[in-house]
Amino acid sequence: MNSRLDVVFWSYNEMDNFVATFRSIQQVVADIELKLSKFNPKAEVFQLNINQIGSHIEVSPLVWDNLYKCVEYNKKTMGLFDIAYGSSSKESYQLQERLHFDESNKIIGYKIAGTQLDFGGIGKGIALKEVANILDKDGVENAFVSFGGSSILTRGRHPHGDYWPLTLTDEDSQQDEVKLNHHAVSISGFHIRDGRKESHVVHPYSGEMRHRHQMVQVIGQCPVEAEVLSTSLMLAKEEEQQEILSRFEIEKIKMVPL
Amino acid sequence: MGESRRDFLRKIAIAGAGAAMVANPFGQAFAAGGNKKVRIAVIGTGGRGRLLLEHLLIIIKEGGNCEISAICDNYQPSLDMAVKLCVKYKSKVNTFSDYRKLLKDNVPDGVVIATPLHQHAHITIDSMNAGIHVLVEKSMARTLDDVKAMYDVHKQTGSVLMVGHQRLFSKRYLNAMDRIHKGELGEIGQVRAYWHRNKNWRRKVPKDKPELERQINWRLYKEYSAGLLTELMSHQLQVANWALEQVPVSVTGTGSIRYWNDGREVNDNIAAIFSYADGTQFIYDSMTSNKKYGCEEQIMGHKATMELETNKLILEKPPKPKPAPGIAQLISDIKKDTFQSIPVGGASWAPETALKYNGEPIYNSQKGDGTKEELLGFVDCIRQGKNIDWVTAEGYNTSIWSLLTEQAIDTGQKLTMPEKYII
Ligand SMILES: NC(=O)c1ccc[n+]([C@@H]2O[C@H](COP(=O)([O-])OP(=O)(O)OC[C@H]3O[C@@H](n4cnc5c(N)ncnc54)[C@H](O)[C@@H]3O)[C@@H](O)[C@H]2O)c1
Repeated sequence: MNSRLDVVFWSYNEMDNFVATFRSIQQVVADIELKLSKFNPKAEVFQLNINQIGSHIEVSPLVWDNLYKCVEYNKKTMGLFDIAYGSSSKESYQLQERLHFDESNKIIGYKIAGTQLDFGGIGKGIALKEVANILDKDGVENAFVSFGGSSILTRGRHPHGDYWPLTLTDEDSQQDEVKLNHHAVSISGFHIRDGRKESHVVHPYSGEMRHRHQMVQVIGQCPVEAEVLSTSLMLAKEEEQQEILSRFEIEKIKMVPL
Repeated sequence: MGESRRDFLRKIAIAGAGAAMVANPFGQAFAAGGNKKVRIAVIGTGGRGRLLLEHLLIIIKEGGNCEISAICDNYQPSLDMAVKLCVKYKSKVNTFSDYRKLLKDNVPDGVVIATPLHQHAHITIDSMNAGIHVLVEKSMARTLDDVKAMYDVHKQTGSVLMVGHQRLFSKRYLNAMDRIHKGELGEIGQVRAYWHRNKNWRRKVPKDKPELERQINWRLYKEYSAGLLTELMSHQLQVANWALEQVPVSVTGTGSIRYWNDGREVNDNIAAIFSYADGTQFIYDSMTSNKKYGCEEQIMGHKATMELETNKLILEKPPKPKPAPGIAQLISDIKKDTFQSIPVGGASWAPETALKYNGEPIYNSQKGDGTKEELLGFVDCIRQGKNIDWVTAEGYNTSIWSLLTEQAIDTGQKLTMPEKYII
């Protein structure tokens, strides 16, 4: 995922062992990275990407479950959220048409030649969901977790206020403050690199980087769904937006038009 | 850097084999005062001489407190081109074809000598004996004895003697060396350097004057030049010695005429290995029929590598990415009992990219290769009447070891520095 993970905890209870919690978080994130990477030859996703059509790979429950979910998200977003956007196949396919899930053996294979999966658009959300599980398990009440500054998970509140106050700053504007307690935030938009705006959301069908928004910020409960939504809404047309939004549970959404 | 290296350096200094070096090569020299214009003559106005001349003309145009007292070349076309350059900068100039006449009639404060290698020693020595300061292009001379004689006359006369290793004056190299010497790279195990070009060294000789072949193509004949060793390697050997704060204890090498087999006498590809007393190796090669790898000096310590020509520092352990600025603010707010918004920015969706670490620049504000600074340094040394001894020693030791490399290649032997050349 190649991003920095920052974690801030606080507590009045001296018994809280934040070091141990942080270690568990590090471990779980490293493990996810190792499974979902398309660059690390040991990763399951790497292996799937180089696998022959028709043959199958045994995958971990994490990869199995998330691929299943990705198929579901692909449908729910009318094809806009697509971890196979980078496939070389000429025609467009639904994610479901590309993947073969062998339920009894828990193995997965590709059905369409040229299929390439990339978890870049959802990996941080998957990781934050696992982080949330660790925080719950360890009884951490107050935490602010940021993955690269754009995928955020919060628990509890800031030590000097009733919530975690967050302001999205982008190049052109200062947005309103949002108040976070038990939340997940995902921000999609342009990356500013060397003063130039770089688009990162690829339209799965056209392959173009055709944004309809400058920035989309989604606040909800589930970090995975927040990622899926912020990504697909970048590309969604007006009518698609309403339809997609009706299929997810979110608390707040902010879209800055182009 | 552990005690061991410092002790070792002390030993070297006592043995008198190493140059005592300081971080700032110029000491007080750059803070020079005095209002008198320093008069500089350029002897040898070929390719390099004209570049040095142009730098001087620019320095003068920018208000530098010096002037070109004369230029000299014994080949009229070279002299004509240099005169043209002076005209371009609206500078009147005296011309000479015989440097002896120049020394006698023009009596400059300093001379910049950019003649072919075999024409360095006697011009340098005559100048210093006439009480004139010298900046001589590298390498110092064609023979070991001439190099030593130049150094001895410098000592006897007290004239400034600088050798044209411009990297010594580049702010990038100075910054790098300071950091290397402070231990930023850890213990240096090896230095590697190379200079690869894909071009012939041969220059066109006027059709009607074939007798000029050896004069124009002096670099290709052993009588006048040691080829790649004195012309290219010398710069990089100087960098290696400088980084290691030592001179080698031995050299072995090999070379051949592999590609440009056109009657030249100097090798068109060479390889050499220098060993230092603390066990460090300097591994060098140069060729002229492939340019893929270009020119580089790699200083390799157990903590990091510096690639000096391309301005790169590469840590062995890549640094952690910087914290999001908002997080740093949040932590400081918590500590200060402040409650304010956490700023976040940037986009969430990024295609997965492979983790790449390509190092970081060493130093960014050096324009050019140090030649202009070298000339400014020379002018200031003249004004101060002060030699920078370690800079002289750098040039001296580099010249000696470049010529020893030639002997090592020619004889196939592993060579050390004869006692009589140790300064
Ligand atoms: N520091 C550097 O980066 C660098 C770069 C290139 C050359 N150099 C050095 O500069 C020197 C000259 O190289 P170049 O490429 O300019 O060679 P060149 O052949 O282009 O120029 C040499 C000039 O010296 C003249 N000359 C020869 N003997 C003379 C004499 N006795 N009196 C007056 N003039 C005389 C020649 O006529 C010629 O014009 C060499 O020592 C070379 O190693 C240094």
